[in-house]
Amino acid sequence: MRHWHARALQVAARYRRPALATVIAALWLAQAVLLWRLDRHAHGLAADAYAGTWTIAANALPGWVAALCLVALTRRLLFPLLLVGVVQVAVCIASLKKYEILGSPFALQDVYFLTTINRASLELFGSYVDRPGWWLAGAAGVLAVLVAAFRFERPWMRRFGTAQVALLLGSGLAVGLLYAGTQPWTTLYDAKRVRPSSTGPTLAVVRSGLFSSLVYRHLQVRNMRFEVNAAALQRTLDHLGPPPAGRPLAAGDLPDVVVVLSESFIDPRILAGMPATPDLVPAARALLEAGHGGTMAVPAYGGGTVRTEFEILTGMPADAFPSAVFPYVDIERAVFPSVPRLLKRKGYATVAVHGNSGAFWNRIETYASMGFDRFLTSRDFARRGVRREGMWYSDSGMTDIVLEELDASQGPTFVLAVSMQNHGPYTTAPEDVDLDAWEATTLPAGLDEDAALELRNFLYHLHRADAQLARLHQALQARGRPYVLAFFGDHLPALPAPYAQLGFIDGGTPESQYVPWVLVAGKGTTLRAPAGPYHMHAWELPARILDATGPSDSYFRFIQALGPRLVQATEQDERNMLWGGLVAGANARMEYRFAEHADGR
Amino acid sequence: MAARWMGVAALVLLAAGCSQQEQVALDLQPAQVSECDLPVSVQVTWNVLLPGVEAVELHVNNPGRRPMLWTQTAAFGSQHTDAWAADGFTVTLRTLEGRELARRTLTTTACADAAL
Repeated sequence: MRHWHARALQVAARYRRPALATVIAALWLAQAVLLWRLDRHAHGLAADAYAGTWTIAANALPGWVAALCLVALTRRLLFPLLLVGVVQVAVCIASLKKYEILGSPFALQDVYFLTTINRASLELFGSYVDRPGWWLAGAAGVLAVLVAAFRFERPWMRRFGTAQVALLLGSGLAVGLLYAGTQPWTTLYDAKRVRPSSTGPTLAVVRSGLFSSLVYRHLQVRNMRFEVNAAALQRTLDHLGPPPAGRPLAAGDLPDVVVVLSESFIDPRILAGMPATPDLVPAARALLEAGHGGTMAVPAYGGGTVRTEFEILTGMPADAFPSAVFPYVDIERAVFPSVPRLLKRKGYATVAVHGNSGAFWNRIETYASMGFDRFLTSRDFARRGVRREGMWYSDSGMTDIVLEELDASQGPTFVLAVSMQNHGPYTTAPEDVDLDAWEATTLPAGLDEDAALELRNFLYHLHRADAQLARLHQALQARGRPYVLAFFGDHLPALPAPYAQLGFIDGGTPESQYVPWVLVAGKGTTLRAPAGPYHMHAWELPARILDATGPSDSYFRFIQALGPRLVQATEQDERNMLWGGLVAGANARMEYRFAEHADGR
Repeated sequence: MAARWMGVAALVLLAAGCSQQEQVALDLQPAQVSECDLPVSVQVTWNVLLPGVEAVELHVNNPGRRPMLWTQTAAFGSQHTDAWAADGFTVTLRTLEGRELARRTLTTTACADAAL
């Protein structure tokens, strides 16, 4: 008996490690299935939706490759699987939250925030987390498990032995090829398998899983080319005829130009029930009714400010670059053709003002390549003693800084101000606000408690933003210098509950609504474009700003001619032709070759 | 000992991936369409044979949209949607207390000549 027992122990000892390795290998396979289920859950889909061997394996493959790298580095099997699993769960949770709030899944560009993590980004994302204490405790628990797994799992291979070296080389090569965006990844994750959609990232996630769609997007960005369809551009240029003539002014006459991107600024009366409540944007409405603006279509909803900002600063539609979801992150240009760069060449001082971290959305690098001389961020707001109203730096503080910058400048100045005060989340109890004014904000009937809180928070700050428009306008008039003032909303706020409960006046969806834009050509300037309420695209606004200012170039004159034609075109053929020419023109602009095409006719 | 625990864990994880609720049926007809035919009308059929569940709620949503209550009805039945179901259209069957019983998603096959 004792002999058999000893023999059994011997056999067990001999096969213990292989058995353990087999179990861990099975765990790796199970992890792929679990990841798929988590992915489906995070995006509100049935567990079996698009489930198949390829989709499940392809969705797990990036994680497996990362885990193999860790295996090669640590010589452990379980620890890498756990670590990669934790990251995957974190990404799925982030996607779930983003999907709930914005209706859009986690995107490759969101990873960018991890590379620029700082207090501001922690503050912004932390504000969307319920019960942060629980999350911190959970994170500490996960960390403890990871440390324990690392300590208790013995290495499976000899240090720098054949197995480790082979794994290092193999996994390193796979990661290198993925980063470079080459084969075999481009074949494994091609459009036929991932099935992306031109309408946004959601369908690729639905059809192939979040991680497959992220790999696909990465490959697209790595292989991005600015392709100029010269024939389409030529056809459109011929169709448009001669562009409006430029009208340079003497340096002494150049007006100051102030462009305010007001976070989530909308006309609240697009919401059913709001027309019966007191007007919360009287300053904007008065200017609009006096013919100084209209509505515009923007390429963002609920977030993605930089997409609208990109269009306003460059005159290029974001959709002309489908591989670049967030152009400041996806498009690398040492010299970005833009309004500030053009004005800088004409002798302007160029300043950007934004009460948040400059690293956000890669603004520091992008603004530098766009020709901004200076970029004043949350640090400058703090240094100048700007107070917060609600969660973010106040619009009144931002207006103070804009006016101080103009006063301090010796010559014509271009100021871009990107506001923060009305940034979400809107679900928190009011803090650092004028409580009497907050409570006095009238809401339409028919909202439940949560939706009412969200809408009241939003409307309170919206009214404050409008008051700053009035103040800035008055201050510019009082300065006695020529000026051009542009003010607009970047997108609709993410308020899914109020939208669902009230609906929109036009019966449309949140994504189909427009935002207001205001353009005042002040003393000493003129606007040649037709006055009166005018509907347009965000990428048309810079051409109008420059038309009022004076300096322009062939691209902005092209936009000035094309924009109204595209808005007014009733025939689909003409719309397609104009859009094709616009896309070709924007790509030529990005390649610094637009003038070549326009002048070479 | 470690191998045994890992084995148990693997079985639990795999079982979680294979669990089925045989007393709850939820079907979409069609369950899959060509991308070219979207949006489509879908027939939703459900049958819940769980003790104490006399009535159920069906919530529907297209991708990126919040699920909204479509109908509150008996524990079995069948109903047509209008032609607004898109790729990823999802129906969730819940008890009146909000417990999820089943979920089905409409999928598509690629449209041969559709531009991506």
